[in-house]
Amino acid sequence: MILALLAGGAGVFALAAISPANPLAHTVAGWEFASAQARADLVTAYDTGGWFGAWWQWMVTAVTTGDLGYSRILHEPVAEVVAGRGLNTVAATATAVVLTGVIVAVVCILLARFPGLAHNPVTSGVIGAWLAVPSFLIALLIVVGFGSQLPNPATSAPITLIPAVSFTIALAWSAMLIAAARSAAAEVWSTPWARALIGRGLPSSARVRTILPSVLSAVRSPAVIYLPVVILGEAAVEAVLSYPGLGNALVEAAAGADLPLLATVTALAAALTTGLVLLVRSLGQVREARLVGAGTAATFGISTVGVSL
Amino acid sequence: MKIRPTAVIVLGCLLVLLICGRFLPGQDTDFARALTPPGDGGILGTDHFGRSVAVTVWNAAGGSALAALFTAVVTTVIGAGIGVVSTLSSALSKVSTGLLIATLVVPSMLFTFIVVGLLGGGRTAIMVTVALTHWPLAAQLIGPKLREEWNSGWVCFDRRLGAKRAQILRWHVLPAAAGRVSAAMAVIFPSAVVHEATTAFLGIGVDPSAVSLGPLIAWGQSEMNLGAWWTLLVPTVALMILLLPPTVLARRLGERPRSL
Repeated sequence: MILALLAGGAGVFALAAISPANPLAHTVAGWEFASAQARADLVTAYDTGGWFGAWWQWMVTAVTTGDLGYSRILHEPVAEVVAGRGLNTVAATATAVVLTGVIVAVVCILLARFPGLAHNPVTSGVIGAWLAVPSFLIALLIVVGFGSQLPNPATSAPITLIPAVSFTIALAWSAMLIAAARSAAAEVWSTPWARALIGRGLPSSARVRTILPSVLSAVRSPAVIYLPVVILGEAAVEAVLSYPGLGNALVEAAAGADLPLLATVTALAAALTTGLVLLVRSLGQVREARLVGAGTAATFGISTVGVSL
Repeated sequence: MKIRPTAVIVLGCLLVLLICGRFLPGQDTDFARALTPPGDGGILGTDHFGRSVAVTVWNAAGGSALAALFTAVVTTVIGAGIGVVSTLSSALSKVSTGLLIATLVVPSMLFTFIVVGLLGGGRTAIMVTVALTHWPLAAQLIGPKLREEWNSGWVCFDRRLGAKRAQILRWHVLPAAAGRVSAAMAVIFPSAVVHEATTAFLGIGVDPSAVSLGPLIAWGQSEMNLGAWWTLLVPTVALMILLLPPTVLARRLGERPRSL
């Protein structure tokens, strides 16, 4: 029923969009350029003064013309903000992903190489302390500690700020992943099968080859699940470091109640999160089936999907 | 990992001590003593209004701790309630799962920025959004335990003997989930503090004059240029004191929920 309703609604919009008169666009899409009197007449005629009317008008405008609205805080169309700043955010995130990958890979190898490391209370305490530090505080510490060496955001190209932003994001993100890796390593090293590896005197390279896949599989799902959080949730990092990314634009938009930009970023975040959760679930099922087939999942008792809905 | 009772008692005392700061009387401004360093200007120096940084930060930390504690309790109760409802009815379980998925679609910090930015409301609005975005976490932690107990052998036996649902919940299910409830609260508390501090630090929907750790850190950052390092250091350390113990506790509870 819901699908039929959505299909019917889409059909009406499609008809309106292909109509030579293009009634929706002519009625609403010219809002940004209409005179004050014309706006007042439209509000009276269509009763669009409330929040629902404003939201509906924005949605219809976007659907019929491809326009995402105009950001009154940043003084440019939202589509341009998303295209320009989104690229900066993607560049910083990609660098952060590489940095995080390197940090987490090194720690995972250490956890797979040294059995005592995962069970050490000091390791757990350090990871707990690391997790407790909010990302904006890490960014602030970088600004305070290395402020004079950081490029001036007002005069420098965004690319020069990427190392500081991506390093901060990587530090915040890798804490979660290392915590997951440590839990998985502790669980694996507790199994009699894994202890037998040590008892039989296998070389350390063999231990790493055997244990590392299980530790990495525990990291994979949270890594993908937290990706949208990293991309858009680390807006505070961009704001503190004055990086011209989408997150910084989001903070400015939230502080100034800039509805078109907020709505667009929210829609992007929702689409990204939903897509990644679906990806993790489908990959997890594939991986689970392969592990069960090999008989190793039962041995380790580890779920490959860290977050279940 | 075992949780020592003394650690829990110390943590409780620390929390009570912090919350007491919320009820300290207001301080008068004294611009003649503005930005006096520690020693001459009291134990932790003074801020740009000439007020004691120690008292201001204690007051702010107390407010944050009280609000976060209240939010953690309310959110856990909501999550546990939804867990109970899901346990009792498969149809309601489907509804709650749908709600859970809907809540997880937008990152919680982003959701907080949007709601507080558009609606304002300061700390109360931040805590409401934390409750709205974190109840799935409590439901995920508590719900499976409730279901496990509900389907256990002795509960089935009690049901056959004619025990009512409410009695089973009171006698078996809720006591068994107490450990998970503690874990949920220990996870939500620091998250609420971080959401409040970050949102207030960025100045989204928060009254700039409100006493909160976020604005204090933001002011401290700008006053670092004047050499007043203590105005940044003290609120930052206070924030870490507020976050570190519950985060470590949450990790330990998460590793061994049955140790409680």
